[in-house]
Amino acid sequence: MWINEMLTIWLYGSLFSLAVIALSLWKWYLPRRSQDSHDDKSDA
Amino acid sequence: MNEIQVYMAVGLTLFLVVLLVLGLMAYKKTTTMADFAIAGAKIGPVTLGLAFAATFFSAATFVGYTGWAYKWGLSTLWIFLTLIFASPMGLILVAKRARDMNTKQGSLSLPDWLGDRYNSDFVRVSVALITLFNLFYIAAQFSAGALVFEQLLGIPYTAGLIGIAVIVVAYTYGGGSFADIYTDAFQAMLMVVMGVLVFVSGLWVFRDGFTGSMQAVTNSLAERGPELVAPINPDSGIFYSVQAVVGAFVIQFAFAAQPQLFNKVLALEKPQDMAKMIGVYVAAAVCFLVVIFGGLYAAATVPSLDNPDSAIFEYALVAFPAAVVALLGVVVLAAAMSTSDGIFVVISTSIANDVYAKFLVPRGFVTNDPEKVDANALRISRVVTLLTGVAATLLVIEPPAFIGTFVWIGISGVAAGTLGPLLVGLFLPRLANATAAKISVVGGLGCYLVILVWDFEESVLAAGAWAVLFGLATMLVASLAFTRGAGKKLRGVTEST
Repeated sequence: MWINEMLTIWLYGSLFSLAVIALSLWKWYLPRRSQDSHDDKSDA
Repeated sequence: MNEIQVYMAVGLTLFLVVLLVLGLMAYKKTTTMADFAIAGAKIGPVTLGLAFAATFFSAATFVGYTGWAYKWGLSTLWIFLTLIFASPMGLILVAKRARDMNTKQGSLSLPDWLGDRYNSDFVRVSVALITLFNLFYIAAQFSAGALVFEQLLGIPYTAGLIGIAVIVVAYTYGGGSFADIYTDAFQAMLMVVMGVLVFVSGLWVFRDGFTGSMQAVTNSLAERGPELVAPINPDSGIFYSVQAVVGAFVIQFAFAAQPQLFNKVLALEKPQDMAKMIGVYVAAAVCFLVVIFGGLYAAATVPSLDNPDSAIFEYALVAFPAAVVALLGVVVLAAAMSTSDGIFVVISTSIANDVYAKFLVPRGFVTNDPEKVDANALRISRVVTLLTGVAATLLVIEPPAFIGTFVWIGISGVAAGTLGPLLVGLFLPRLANATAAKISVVGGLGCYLVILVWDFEESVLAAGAWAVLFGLATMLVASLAFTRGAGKKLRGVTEST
């Protein structure tokens, strides 16, 4: 446990959350390379 | 003027100059209603991700949440987890499908999107009117900003209130969504810097590494009472029970579909850049939210404050030189403005596009030359912006007792009436029908009003959550009940998606 119960929940909960978000974006949002259009990715 | 006030005046002047320049750039780009409402769907993912984050996180993050942490201790960290898990997941669930569908629908707002999806003027207009609840949200931000002016610059509350209203109305009036997004992206960068600075300040204030700092904070809080270091604090106004924590996750999940955030999704130029936009928003959100630790640090360094909302400012006086304290003041103003300007665009679009252009004109209630409708809608949106500024200012001409309550009245009313039709419209097209949507809009909002008026729920977050769940359940039940026959009518729409 890191210091106390709530801080442990915060630390591991944050890491878990970011991992789930990253996985979700990779799984559902990133275009599959074989189906990419010819558009370049834009920025700003 | 003391040193902080001098730095604040200089910082504020520079900040306003940047807003003016960005506002002028936006004004030149705004020539149609689509430009005013969703920046013509021409914005890239990094700018939009920053703008989304700045719109999402208001002055409540820097002042309210730190105040909660100061007063109620470690259980406040649940708000961090709800905001970096539930809200992004809500956005991930909704954004891609909504944006993809909009390449064909061409809707300009959440009410417009729902009205087009269900082919229903009742849904469009009722949701447009529900967005007026957000007047409370704007008013709360204005009040927070006016209090910052008063505390840091000694400017009387009313003068500060009018000053903020004039600034936000000015750049939104001219530049609509372009102004909203450009200024938000700039404000987000300031918010990132301040959030991270506050978080790392524990290293030199406590001089014992991050773990040592948190141990010192924990020891200090534990001396005041064991509930201040426990995951659930029965004295907390927000996280007083397990179901209140669950309710907070639910309402934050629903938050991502708020109209001022939904219109950001519609503003993305290329739908395939959505992942990048969401990634930027989450990264910025983490940087903003670590400011909550400032409230915890304050509990250990400046105990016995009467007003928890002043905790972050009092802590900043301990941790930072005058220039950085002044920066904090500018950042709180930036956070207030970056949320309220998005809602201005929502409310003005609701009236100008959703009520006037998509309902009154097609139905013949207002006769107009078809070629002039868009130009008239743009004019109306600007007038409504002005009127919204006046109304929101008058709502808080006397500072409200609880700014947080005002904020959540706005958010919860809208979420309760819209999430059911949105989710079913996106994911259960064969069930979704206009009759069910109408019932859900009325039922969800009605449930929230009952909870609010009869005060059934202590936590303002959980109150919204229960109404959202009721609205969603109503939508599902009504969709099943009315789906026979109605499913055929919607299929023509769904087959194209």
